[in-house]
Amino acid sequence: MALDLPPRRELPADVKERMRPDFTQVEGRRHSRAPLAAAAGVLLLVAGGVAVTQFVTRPFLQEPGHGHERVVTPSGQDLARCRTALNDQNWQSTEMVVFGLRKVLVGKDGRFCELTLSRAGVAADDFEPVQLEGGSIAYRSEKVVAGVPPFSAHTAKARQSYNTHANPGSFSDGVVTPDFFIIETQSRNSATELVFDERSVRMPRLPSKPAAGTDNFESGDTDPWALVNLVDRCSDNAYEAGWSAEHLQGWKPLLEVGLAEHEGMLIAHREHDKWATCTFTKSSSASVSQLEVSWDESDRPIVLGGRKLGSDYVLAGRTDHQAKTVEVSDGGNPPVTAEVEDGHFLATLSLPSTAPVNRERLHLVARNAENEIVYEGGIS
Amino acid sequence: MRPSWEGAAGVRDDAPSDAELWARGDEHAFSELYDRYAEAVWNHAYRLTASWSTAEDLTSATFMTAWRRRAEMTLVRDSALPWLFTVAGFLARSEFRRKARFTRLLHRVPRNDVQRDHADEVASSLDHEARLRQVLEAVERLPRAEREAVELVLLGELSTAQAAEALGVAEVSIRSRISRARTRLRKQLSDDTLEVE
Repeated sequence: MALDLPPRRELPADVKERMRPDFTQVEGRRHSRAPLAAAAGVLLLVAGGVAVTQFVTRPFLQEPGHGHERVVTPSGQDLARCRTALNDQNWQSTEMVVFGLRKVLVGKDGRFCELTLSRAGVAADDFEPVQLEGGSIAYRSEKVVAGVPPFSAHTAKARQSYNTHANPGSFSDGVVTPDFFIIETQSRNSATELVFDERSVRMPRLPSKPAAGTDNFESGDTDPWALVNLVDRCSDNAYEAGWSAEHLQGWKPLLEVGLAEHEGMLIAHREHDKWATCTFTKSSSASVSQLEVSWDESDRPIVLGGRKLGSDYVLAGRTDHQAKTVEVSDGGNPPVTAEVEDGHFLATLSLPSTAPVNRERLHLVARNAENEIVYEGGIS
Repeated sequence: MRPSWEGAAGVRDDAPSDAELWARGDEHAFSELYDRYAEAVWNHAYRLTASWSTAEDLTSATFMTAWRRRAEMTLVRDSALPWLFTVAGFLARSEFRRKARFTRLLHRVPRNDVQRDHADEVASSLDHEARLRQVLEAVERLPRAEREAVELVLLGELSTAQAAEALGVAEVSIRSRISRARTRLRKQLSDDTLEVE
């Protein structure tokens, strides 16, 4: 049996020239040749190196999402952030994969750039792509592995092993196209194997710091203590801790205490419909806490959170939405007054001793714009 | 002249081999490879997509992929054609099948690129295209390993040895895959899309 195939055509000269690629236009990044892969035939070995570029003159290759439906085009802002991180204003990228709050841009020169809301990561200056049995790793951060896949790989995933004897590990699926693969792992530095299709490749030993991260904010403001950036840092920390990106997108600052001193607490809102708290200190950037989202949707007054600051205690709370001010007392001290936004407040209580705040003794008086009491009672 | 695959340009005996051109890796060397195999890849791309306009895109993409990844690969022996066919097959699948465009392409109304032909030729082309679409739909349903072998051997008309080398498997595996694929295709395809050898 043979297939009834159409006869071959002679290639018209004009079509031939129309199809001819401009081989001078698109250059690969590396030229080091790999060793021979096989003893006979035309067997070809993909053996490292990075050659990631796009051919841009043919119609179907112009579409974003080349090779995979999760590949999108980065925004100008994403591109600008990566150019800053790479210190290369000519860096070009037309492909990006989004993993929750994380974006990974693929450069036409084969370099990768990882963005979160508040950070940018690129390969460390001394990091060289690491060859695999097929393909290579060109970027590795705590949670991202990226590079060139073995030729013809359709799937890419990373096995994450925490305890090889007790736990066989789980897999993180990635995105693979003919030109690159990107995998986001669930836990930091947990990938022990890469699996392309059904073929496993042990993660090679990499330099201790293969990636360099810097503050780099989606807001465009370069001040890490700008309130909007602080909220983004809190969101990133929550995402890294495993919270779903769905719950962490779109947060904006509502109230803060202690920002000027870089030591305090904030309340953020999402569409004035959800609220969250986050604490921060000036000791180090890592001391920004996770964004703590409030899941309580009842109308009762509640304490969202609190933080001890020296001899003070910052209390984040919620009261009646009509309230404009609250007076909060802990039973032993004069009440303190705080402004209310969206029914939420941050009150700074003075603590006479090192004893913690006794929430059962907290008393709240909430007043509306006419100074009428709209709530009086306990808060817990 | 060296023996050449039908549709590939003839190569003089004193001309550099494909492997030598590949090893040189400059734009002139790849232009030479393009001149040798553009027609072969273009025809193969048509057999993979049933669309001449798409075949143009695929041909360009195939050579561009070879160019981009030339530093990562070493051509061990002449010729480059099995490798180029493998790239074309992979790109066809990755570009079209993943985007669920493949089937739509197969059912697409034929493009104007055949309408300048004589009426009889047009009718013949449409008939060929319709039958090719049937074949491709059946090939698309094959298991991946069999599909890759079919694309190279039955659609590309490479030898089983060349296909084995291009796919990095034993020749006996290719023969076995082709045999199983023939059985499946025979069940799926109507008689008029098959010929008895």
